[in-house]
Amino acid sequence: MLFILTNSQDATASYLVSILENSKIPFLRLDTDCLLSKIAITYSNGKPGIKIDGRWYNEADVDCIWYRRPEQLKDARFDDSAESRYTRSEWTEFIECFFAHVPIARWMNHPARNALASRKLEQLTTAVELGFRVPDTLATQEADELKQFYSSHSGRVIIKPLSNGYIERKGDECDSLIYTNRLTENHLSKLEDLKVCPALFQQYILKQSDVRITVVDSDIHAVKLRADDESGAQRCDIRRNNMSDVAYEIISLPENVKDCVRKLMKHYGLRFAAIDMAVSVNGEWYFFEVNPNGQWAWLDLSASTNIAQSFVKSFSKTDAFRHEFLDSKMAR
Amino acid sequence: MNTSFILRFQEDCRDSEIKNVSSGTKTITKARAESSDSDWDRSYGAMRRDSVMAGTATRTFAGGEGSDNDKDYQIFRGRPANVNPVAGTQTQTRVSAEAPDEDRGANQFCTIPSCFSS
Repeated sequence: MLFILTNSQDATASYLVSILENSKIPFLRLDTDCLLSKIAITYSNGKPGIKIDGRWYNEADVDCIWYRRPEQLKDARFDDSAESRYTRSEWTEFIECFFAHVPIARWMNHPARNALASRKLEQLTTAVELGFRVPDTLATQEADELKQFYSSHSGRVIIKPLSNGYIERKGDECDSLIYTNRLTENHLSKLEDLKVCPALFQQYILKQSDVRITVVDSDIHAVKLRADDESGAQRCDIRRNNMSDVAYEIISLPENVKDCVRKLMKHYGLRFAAIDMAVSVNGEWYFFEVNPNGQWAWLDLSASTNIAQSFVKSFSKTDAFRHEFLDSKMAR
Repeated sequence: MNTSFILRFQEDCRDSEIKNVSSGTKTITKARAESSDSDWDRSYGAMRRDSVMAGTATRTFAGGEGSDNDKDYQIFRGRPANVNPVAGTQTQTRVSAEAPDEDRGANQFCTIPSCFSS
């Protein structure tokens, strides 16, 4: 049985579920925001169990867990009281304890693996070690360091957020976005605010195109993304303009890049990842970052990839492998 | 606070984008467009990300030895549901949209976000 851990508003899960329904893969979608009303948990002397919709499952029934976007547990019985928070915490722990019995290899991906693969600066360090080319990078809060970096790259420098690019405000206040931006001389005239918080700067890569690489086990899907800025060059941040003007093209990766991608997956122990790269105007491939739980369904819909089928294949294999394994055990 | 260097580059979310996010490709590109490619909750690290732990629990344990439970382990779980980091107030309109790349729980070692993160 494939268990899908997510929330009820996860459109990516809904997209794949609609495809899984036409496959022979048995699955259960567990939306953590409406889960508690239909489950029960048991544990007795090393035997964990979870009852879902009236049927009991043990850890051996879990062929694979697709870890998508579970949210905080919700239940009508919970309010904002300390007791409710505590009860919810206990519930969370019980459910996690059940899933903790499922070996990491059966997760796509295990959240711990996602966590380890999620630090942008560490990703860059690792990527270089694995053979990727990465842009020159500087994280600093020192004005002089930034000026020197800017000068050494002849003013071709970008700034991008390290954690995320979204500033959320309360109520009706307009939220803000921070894209990847070119740095200009003007920005460097006063740098007192750089002291307040470090910022991430990189060599600006004059791009031919961006490339989104989606890996599902052994399947690698690569898509070239093209979108022009005002000058006709590839846009600094492809996400601008709501991506409405992006042209998609499915491509094959060069063998050396493919090799690096495989090494990256192995290094972090990931079965799934969405990797952002770019091809420079000189034909050099640059690694930007890896999103261990990134999005992919938009590519199936916008670029005509068939990433969903790769998931189906992976989940089928897991299922077949598990049954084969159990059969052989029983035969012994 | 509007003082750090990176904040100079913030831009308002455009209403026109928000209104066009209900379904289909546009929705998905919207989701992609507004996502940064990194994770939201990095609080499993050494430094706590917000003031969650500065509250009652911290004060309770201030005078003595803390509990065996690592509270940080609790708070490195994700943010509460419906606080959509990309869509913000657009949560409802993005119901059928693909979520952003950012996995708010990606830096958790836990399976399910806990209530301590809210």
